[in-house]
Order: sequence, then structure tokens, then C-alpha cells
Amino acid sequence: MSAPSYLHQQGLLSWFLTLDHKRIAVLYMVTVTFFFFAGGLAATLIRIELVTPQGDLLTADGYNRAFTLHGVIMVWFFLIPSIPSVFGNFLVPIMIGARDMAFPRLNLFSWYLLLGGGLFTLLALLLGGVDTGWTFYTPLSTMFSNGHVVAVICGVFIAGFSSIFTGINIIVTVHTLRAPGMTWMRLPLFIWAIYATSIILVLATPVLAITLLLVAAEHLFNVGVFDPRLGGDPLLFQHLFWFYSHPAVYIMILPAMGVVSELITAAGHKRIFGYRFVAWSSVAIAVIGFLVWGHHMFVAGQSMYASLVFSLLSFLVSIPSAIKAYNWSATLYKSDLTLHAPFLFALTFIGLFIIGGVTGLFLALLAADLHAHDTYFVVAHFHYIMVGAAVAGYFGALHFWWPKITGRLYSQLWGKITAVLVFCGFNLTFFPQFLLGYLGMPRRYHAYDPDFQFLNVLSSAGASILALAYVLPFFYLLGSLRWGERAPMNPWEAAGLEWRVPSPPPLHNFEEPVTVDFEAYDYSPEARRDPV
Amino acid sequence: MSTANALKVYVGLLLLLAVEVLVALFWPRNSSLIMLAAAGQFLLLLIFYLGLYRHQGWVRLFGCLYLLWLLMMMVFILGETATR
Amino acid sequence: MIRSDEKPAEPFVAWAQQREAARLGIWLFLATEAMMFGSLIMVAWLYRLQHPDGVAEAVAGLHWQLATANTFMLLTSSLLMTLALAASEQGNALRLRRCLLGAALLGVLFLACKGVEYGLEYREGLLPGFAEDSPLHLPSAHLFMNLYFIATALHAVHVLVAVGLGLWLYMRLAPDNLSARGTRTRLEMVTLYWHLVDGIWILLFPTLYLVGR
Repeated sequence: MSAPSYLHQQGLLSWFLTLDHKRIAVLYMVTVTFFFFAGGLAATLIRIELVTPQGDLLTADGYNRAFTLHGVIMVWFFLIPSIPSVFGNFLVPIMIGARDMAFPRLNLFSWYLLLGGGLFTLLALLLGGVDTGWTFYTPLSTMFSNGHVVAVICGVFIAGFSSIFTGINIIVTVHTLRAPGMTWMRLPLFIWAIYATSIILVLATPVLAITLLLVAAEHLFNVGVFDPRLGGDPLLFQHLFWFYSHPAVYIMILPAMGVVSELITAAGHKRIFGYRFVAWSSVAIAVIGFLVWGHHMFVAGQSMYASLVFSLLSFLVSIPSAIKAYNWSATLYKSDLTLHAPFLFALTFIGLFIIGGVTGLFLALLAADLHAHDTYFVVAHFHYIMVGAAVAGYFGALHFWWPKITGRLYSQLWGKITAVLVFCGFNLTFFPQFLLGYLGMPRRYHAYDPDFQFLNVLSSAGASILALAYVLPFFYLLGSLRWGERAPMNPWEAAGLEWRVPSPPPLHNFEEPVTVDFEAYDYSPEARRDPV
Repeated sequence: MSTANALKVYVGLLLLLAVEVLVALFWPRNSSLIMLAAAGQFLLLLIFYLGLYRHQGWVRLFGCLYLLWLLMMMVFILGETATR
Repeated sequence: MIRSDEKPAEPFVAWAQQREAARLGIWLFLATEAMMFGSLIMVAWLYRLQHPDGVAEAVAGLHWQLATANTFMLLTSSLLMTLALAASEQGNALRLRRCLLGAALLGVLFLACKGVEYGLEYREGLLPGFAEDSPLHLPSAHLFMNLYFIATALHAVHVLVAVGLGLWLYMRLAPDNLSARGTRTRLEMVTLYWHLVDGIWILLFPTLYLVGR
């Protein structure tokens, strides 16, 4: 009988004091799911309010607090930790042939930081909250806001360290703990994506830290860094904030892209087309993504010359993303495609990401952004990427690796129904918002011109379908824990080290040290699928 | 790093400190000289005390890229405010 | 080498691997600290370039002599940490502990001088929130003073952490503790952190005190 699985030991302390990367991943999963629904509740309030043109459900100030809560929770406590901290933690050591992450205690500490920061922020947001939007623009946040700005900032600051430590852990793990024979060019593309994400986590988050610190200092002590009366510059805040927050959106999308590379190859039982291109494109996105932050400030009074440079660079950053999309499509071409539930999510990702990405190019164009900035066009664009693509990526990962993580199979029928509902609900929710933005409806308004009502009603109807789709997995995934069939080692017939250990894996992942002598995505007929 | 070399670097750091303070006191318009001395100190620290001289290849490349990119950030932001 | 039952921590299989990982980890952490302080120094330079007169007024009142002494102390502490590392490589436990203690004491002295400086500034009415009694006239001078406080306070917190780490190592490296392999890696990590704290001050000191007098 082989070694007991990592889930064998019972008791609360075995979870709260665990040093096992797989258990920590599950802790993160529960945590981010909780925050997803908290943020989703705020979204529900927003969409219900927007069914009617008048502000009836919420006051203007209440609406401000609602979308702030939605943004803060979704960005920092769901999207950023979602794939790196859940699937990164679970899969990185197994995929590279290691027994655990490089710094297991730091890993557990990172989780506590996220949990603590998140609960603190949620508490502050619920006890009155903040009306500044998740972007905390000055001088509203520093001088005029009468909300719990400093409290929310503290929570986000703490969670930022969770990001930084997770990033450090992942980078060091990938550098030092690869099994013999696991060269860089044999790594699964998920690892490349998570590695690039970790570079961004490590280098961008500190700038957020100092920015938040300065806002808190200004709010408390009137320091004047962003106050024109003392010679400060409100636009400087935007520079510092977006210097982090634009790379942050790449933190949110890159891991999902890594997931899609895994899903597409497993769906088509075929090697990825252009491995090196896809691998280096992740790095390119990370690098160029650091140079485009000014495209959030085109209408803020920024220097025209700077705007030109940022616009050009924003066009350039789309190229590596496009390379990925082309390579995925080429991989699917003439492949032996089986459309199980996870792969439907992968296809959803590709379609919605392309729409989101292309509309991003519209916004990168200075002349078009002048009209589209601060309208629902922008809202639709980033939701196509962050929800349509990134959340689809998360759900795809959930459905793909669930048998490995839990050792159970779930109902494929319900998984596929969810995927279809997500696709339809999402498009119904957010496509009308492109049209609304084009027609001129501003964002962050709780009351709007009655001419916009029809599209808003469509959007809210779509949101209700989307909400249903997001709730469904609770039933069939959690139900599988009780009633699901036991999962075999490799239910998808996929390549990769994680599919050659039992489901769920044993405590230290591998019975014996692994030696790697195969390329990534080895779907040739002679490829070995036996347990390592 | 041997004791002798550590002391040599230390003397270099102190000399540059003296240069900085003297320039600030007697030729106050020469801020670029002061910052050059500071940059010199930082490089001495980085290369010898922090030990970058010991690393080759990829590490050196990434280190240089990181510093260059930090510089880019400053150039972008300072350049933007200057060209408004 | 004395045979011991000490094994490298999970999941490493060799000491060299663990040391390599610790080194990479601390360098990444240093990179994050550099990002944070780099942004702050950039903000200081931004305002320096935009408001040269206000900055000159603020800088004129700063206690550069104390700060120069502080710089000297920090540079010396960096030397001592380097010597401590050299001593550990040579196996000289006594010199190692002396250098560590010396560096920590210099750090404490740095903080004491900083405290004296803050005390003087408090008495001169320069602290943020005391603007009515302030001797500064230009509003941008206030801004620069406030930036000075934020930057030096944040740096001081890091010096405090460094001193704490140094003292902790001093106690861990007691003369009767022979199998100090893991602790030697920790010494190297603390040394790196110490040098970064010093490096930040090297750039902060002229930015705040010397330029534009």
C-alpha cells in the first residue's frame, strides 16, 4: 500500500499549522472563494441598482461604497491570489518534481497575511467603508473622503506582503528545487506563467506598499505629497498607483494563461505549438507590462509626450498575448479534441480574452480613449479580461485539477452546463456594457439617463445567470467530495508530472526522487504514463 | 571577502562621504557631483559588500536589467512631469 | 568537519541547495525593499526639481552634522558586518561575535542620534501637524520636511529590524554552539540585509541633506 495521501491526517490544527504546500493551497482556495462571494454580493447590489435609471436602492454615497468594496475585494483578495496562491502552491512543487516549496513556513505565513488583511479590510468596508473606488485617487482619498481610508489601506498593505512572499517562494522554488533533468525548457508552461507572475508580484507590490503608506500619511498628517497647496502633485499618486496596478492586471491574467496552456494541450492530446514562443511571451508580458501604466492617465493631465510613449508601448504589450492566442489555436488544429468540462472553460477563456484584449487596443489609442475613458467601455473591457478570461481560467483550473486535489470525480454534465451558463451569462452581462460605453454612459454612476435603461436591464439579467453559474459548482464540486467516484491517477490522459502521482498525492508528492528525461507535453504514443 | 579588501572598500566609502560633504559645504551648486559620489558609494557597496562581483552570467544580467528598469521608472515619471 | 545529525530543512536535500535558496530569497526581498525606497527617493527628487526654493529652505534647517555622523556610523557598521562574515568563514568565533555586537551597537547609536535629531526638530516646530508654529515660510518647504520625516522614519524602522536581527544572531552564535551551519547561512542573509539598509541611507542622505543647501 502506498504512502497515505496529504489529506489523511485529520483535525483543525493539522490544517492551521500545516507546512504542506498542498494543504496551504486548499486553505487559500477556501479563503479566495469566500472573498469571491463577498465581492460578488457587492456586484449584485450594483447590478440591482442599475436596473432602473434612478438611484433607488442605494444613495449616491452608498453606491460609491458598494463599487469600492467590489473592486477592493475582487482585485486584492480574489483575483491576485486566486491562481498563484491556490494552483501555484499546489502544483509548482509537483510539476517540477520537488517535495515542497522552498520556504514552507513562509508559505503558511503568507496565507495568514492574506486572511488577516482580507478580514480586516472586509470589516472596515462593511463598517461604513470607503467611497474612493478601489483606485484611491487623490485628493479625494487623502483630503475629502470621510470613510475608513486608513483601515482599508492597512488591510491591503498587509495582503500585499502575502503577495510578495508568495512570489519570492515561487521564484526560489523554481530556481533551486527542479528535479534532475527538469531543465527550463522542459517545464510546463504553467510554471513559466507563474514564474513571470511572481516576478511581477515581487517587483510591483512594494511600490503599492509605499503608495498606500504615503496616502495614509497624507490622510492622517496632511503631509502634502499629493496636495497642490503644499506643492504636491495629485497626478504623482496616479503614477505610483498605476505603476503597481497595471502590472497587477498582468498578475491576474498571466496565471490563467498558464492554465489555458495546460488545458489546451490536455484537451487536444497534443504538444503545444511553439513552446519557446509561449514560454518567452509570458516573460515579455511581464517586462513590457511594467512600462505601460500611463495609459490609465491619458485624460488626467499627463504630458502629451508621455502619453504618446505609453500608447505605443501599450500596443506593443498586446503582441506577446496575441502570440499565445495564435499558438493555442495552432495547438488545437488537427488535435484529438475531447471537450470535457475544464476544456470548455479554456475555450471560453480564449474567446473572451481576445475580445477583451482587442478592446484594450481601442483604449490604448489616444484619440479613442479620450471618448471612452471613464465610460462603461472601460468597465466592459476589463471585465472581459478579469472575469471572462481570468475567472474562466480559474474555473477551468478548478475543474481540471479537482480530481488531483481531492481525489474525486465530479459530474461532467453539470460542469459543462456551468461552463455554458458562464459563457452566456457573461456575454449578456458585459457585452451591452461596451455599447453603453460607446453611447456615453459614465462609470461609477448610480443614476443614469433613461435612454440607457434597456442595455442595463440586459446586463443585470445576464448577471443573474452568471451568478447562478458561479453558485452551481458549490453543489456538484462539494457534492463530489461525498458522493463522487474516486479519481484515477490520470483521468484526462494528460502529460505532466502531476498526472503520474496518485490522486490525491501523498504527503511528500513523490515516493522516490524523480528524474526527468522527457520533454514537456509529451503526447507521443511511446510516452510513459506510469506512476513516478 | 578578505579583511584587507573590506578595509579598502571602507576607506573608499569614507573618502566619497568626505567628497560629498565638502562639495555640499563649499560648492553648493554642484548637486550632480554630490549624487555621483553617492552613486559611487552605492556601487562600491553593491559590488563588494553585497558581493555582486562574485556572481556571473544570468545573475549579473538580471541585476543590471533590474537597475536599468528602476532607472526607466524614474526617467518616465520625472520626464512626464517635466514635459507637462 | 564535525559530523552532526543536522540535516538541511525540508524540502532541500543538500546544504548548498538550501544556502542557494536562502540567498536567492533574500536577494529578491532586497529587490522589493529597493523598489519601495527607490520610489520614495524618486518622489523626493521630483519635488526637489519642482520646488528648488522651498526645498532649499527646508534643507537649510536640517542637522547635517548629526546626519553625517550617522552616515559614518552606518558605513562602519557595514564594514563590521563584512568582517563578521569573513570571521565566520575563517572559523574565528570570537571575532565574529565582536563584530556583530559592534555593528549592532553602531546601529543603536544611529537610532539614538536620529532620535536626538527628531527631538531637535520637534522643538523647532517642524513636525507635521505643527504647521502654525513652524519657522518655515514656503508651503513646499513643509512638504519637503514631511517627506524627510517619512523617509527617515521608514529607514529607521529598517535599521531597528537590522539591529534586532544582529543581536539575535549574536545570541545564537554563543561560543559553545558548534554546529552552526544553519546559523552561518542566516549570518550571510542578515549581512546582506544590513548592507541594503546602509545602501538606502547612502542614497537618502545626500538627497535629503546635502543637495541644494
